[in-house]
Amino acid sequence: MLKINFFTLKEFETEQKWLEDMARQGWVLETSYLPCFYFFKKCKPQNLVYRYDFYTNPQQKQECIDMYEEYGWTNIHSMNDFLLFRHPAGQDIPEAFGNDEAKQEMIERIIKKKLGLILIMWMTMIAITIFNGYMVIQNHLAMTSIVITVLCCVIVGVLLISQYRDLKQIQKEF
Amino acid sequence: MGDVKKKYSPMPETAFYILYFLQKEDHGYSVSKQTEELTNGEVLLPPGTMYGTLAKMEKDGLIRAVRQENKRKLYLITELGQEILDQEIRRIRRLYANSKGEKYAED
Repeated sequence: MLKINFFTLKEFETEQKWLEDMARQGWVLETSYLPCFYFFKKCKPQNLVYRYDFYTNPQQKQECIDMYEEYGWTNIHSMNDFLLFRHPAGQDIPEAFGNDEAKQEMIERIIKKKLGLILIMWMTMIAITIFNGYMVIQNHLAMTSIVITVLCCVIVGVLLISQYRDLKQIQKEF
Repeated sequence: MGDVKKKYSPMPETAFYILYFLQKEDHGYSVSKQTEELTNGEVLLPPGTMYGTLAKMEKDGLIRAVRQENKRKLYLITELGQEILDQEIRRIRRLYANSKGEKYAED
């Protein structure tokens, strides 16, 4: 069964709870795709625990999976540097992160990586704008092209600022 | 070097237990079990914390990976790690003495 549900990065805990609710109703997650597609398989209603983790370095991916598996977690899939794990719930629900510090660190790592990508994008956009400006002066390009690139610069710039704000807010929250 | 020392003083409880048990060669899951046992279940080291802390400490040079046993990576404390651990133990002793209103005299 396909379900569409949208969660932002910061709502990963809400997303985990939703997946756990689905399991209680007899739906176990098979796989999911960004930004909002979840595929479930019918199962008997059960208590499952879902946890996300994130790795920064591709070499660490397997190490991270091995560590979780040793603790009895099952890796469901990985996407975009995220790993999703599942564990049958016992008397006490196992936690992936023992403290807020580790959780904060994970979120910070994600945002910093995103921030880096957006920054590169922004700098590329600025370079294109300057190049287009030059071409317009040389009469090789119409004025509209420069308007479009400037607009793109502004949009990416706003994205950059909002991500930076997110990072600052998270650093304050914990 | 000085920066790394400052970064781990004080260190989180979870980091302390990991560093403490890695004074002898061991892997993450075993350290987690020993910590749970020694603290009567008061300190838990779930996989996310364990994996994250090990990666950070290895990067900072407090521990190093010595060998691989099947899927398990075995770590051991480094000289720098030992120095940082000893310094943290002194700090905790001082804190304990002070908590009883006593001055801490190094032995």
